[in-house]
Amino acid sequence: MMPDTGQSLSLTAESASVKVASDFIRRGAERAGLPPQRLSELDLIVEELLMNVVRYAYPADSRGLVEITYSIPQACCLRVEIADQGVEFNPLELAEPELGSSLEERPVGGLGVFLIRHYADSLHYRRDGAWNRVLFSVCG
Amino acid sequence: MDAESAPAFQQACQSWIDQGVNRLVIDMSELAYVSSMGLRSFVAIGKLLSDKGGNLRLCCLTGLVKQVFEITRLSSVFAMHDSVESALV
Repeated sequence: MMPDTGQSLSLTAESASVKVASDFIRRGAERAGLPPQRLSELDLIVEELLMNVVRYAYPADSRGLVEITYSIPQACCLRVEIADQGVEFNPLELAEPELGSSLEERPVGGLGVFLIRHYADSLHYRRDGAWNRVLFSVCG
Repeated sequence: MDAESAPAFQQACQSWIDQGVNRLVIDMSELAYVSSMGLRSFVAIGKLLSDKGGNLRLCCLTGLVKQVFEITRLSSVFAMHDSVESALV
């Protein structure tokens, strides 16, 4: 198949946009020919990245945007960029969680970026002017 | 269980805890997806039950959900069972 140069979608950074974004990216993943197991993992990465934007990127009383772009560089491979204009935040700089802790010592949160790192085949961040841009790929 | 559904799960567990229950068994056999927001709920409920001298037991994890619990090592934090029956013992 010919590589696909990509599709983009701009959404309000709110919880309801996570499903819309996932459905949008899934259509790209299905066109790329990703196997079913990778589709669920892709959903997970997208939710984690989108929820970080929803929860932390913009002030509580504002409605910022999140832009989602995907491309198909080769068969069975999807490349996705999640971009926002919120506070500068590089998820790759977060410390790895302490997974050996007991229940009492385990923090309630902190596993989102860990899951993204585990399931994405590649993961990059860059600050582009006022934009945070997270680029990842998932391949079959 | 994702950001949208995790609050309802947590509220349901909290309702049981408010009635004095301190041991819960969660049948995960029909759970096909869990994000970090879902994991937060399991950890939060597990902590509440532990504080009351009880525990949270999970059974029948499969597929991606089982994998997520294993890679985050939450499968070592909670009592994990292959069936509801064994979890109830």
